[in-house]
Amino acid sequence: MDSNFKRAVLYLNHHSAEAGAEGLILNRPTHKKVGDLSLATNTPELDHVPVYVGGPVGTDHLIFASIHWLPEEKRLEFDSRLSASAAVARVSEGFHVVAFIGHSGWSAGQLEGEILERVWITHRPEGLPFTENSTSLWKDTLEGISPWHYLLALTPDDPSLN
Amino acid sequence: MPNAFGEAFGPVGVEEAAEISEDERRFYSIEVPLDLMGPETGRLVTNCLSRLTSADMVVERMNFQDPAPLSLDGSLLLPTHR
Repeated sequence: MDSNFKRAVLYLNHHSAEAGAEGLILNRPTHKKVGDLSLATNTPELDHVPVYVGGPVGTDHLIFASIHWLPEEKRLEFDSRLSASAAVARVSEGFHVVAFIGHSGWSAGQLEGEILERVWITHRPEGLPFTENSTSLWKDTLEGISPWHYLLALTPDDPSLN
Repeated sequence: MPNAFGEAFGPVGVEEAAEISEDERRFYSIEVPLDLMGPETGRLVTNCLSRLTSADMVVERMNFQDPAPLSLDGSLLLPTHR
């Protein structure tokens, strides 16, 4: 397992058999805001937007995403292809906007193979996948799936030290 | 003889398991009613499991839905190997 994904929770914003998959890690906060970065564009409306590490690919790009939980439809609305001006508009509309440095990517068939090898658990989001303590998101999400997933979350990194 | 999971005795309940010394727990399997599964019970069972196994074995006992669906758009993805 790539250390970039240790106890990570990713949102898959695109996946198809032909084109592969693209996702963003949701629980790697940089503890910086967009206003802390030196950007070519001047968008003070985005200065307060938190910055996360979205993955190891394309780390010279900043991705803006608006995230909104639709409780009646029990669906997460996640738009990760926002221009800076579109992100400003979403902020003014009250959406939760986050910036990601880089993203995570899989070539065609790669993710399917890793899932068959049980490297990944897939799960439909059941709420806005951000918490104040984002480092606990992996454990908290597993806890909500099943008792076995909860056991997995509790298993120590090195069982011999238990 | 221990079975594939290293269990020679049992199953025993959670309360009984708590009475068994840590050195001996690895020889027992433990029955945990799902409605009792919580942080404390989880830790106890994990302590027992981890004496003889790793997260790999927990993963082996989990029910996975495969093959992967055609599209996982909008899904969360969590690694099993931490």
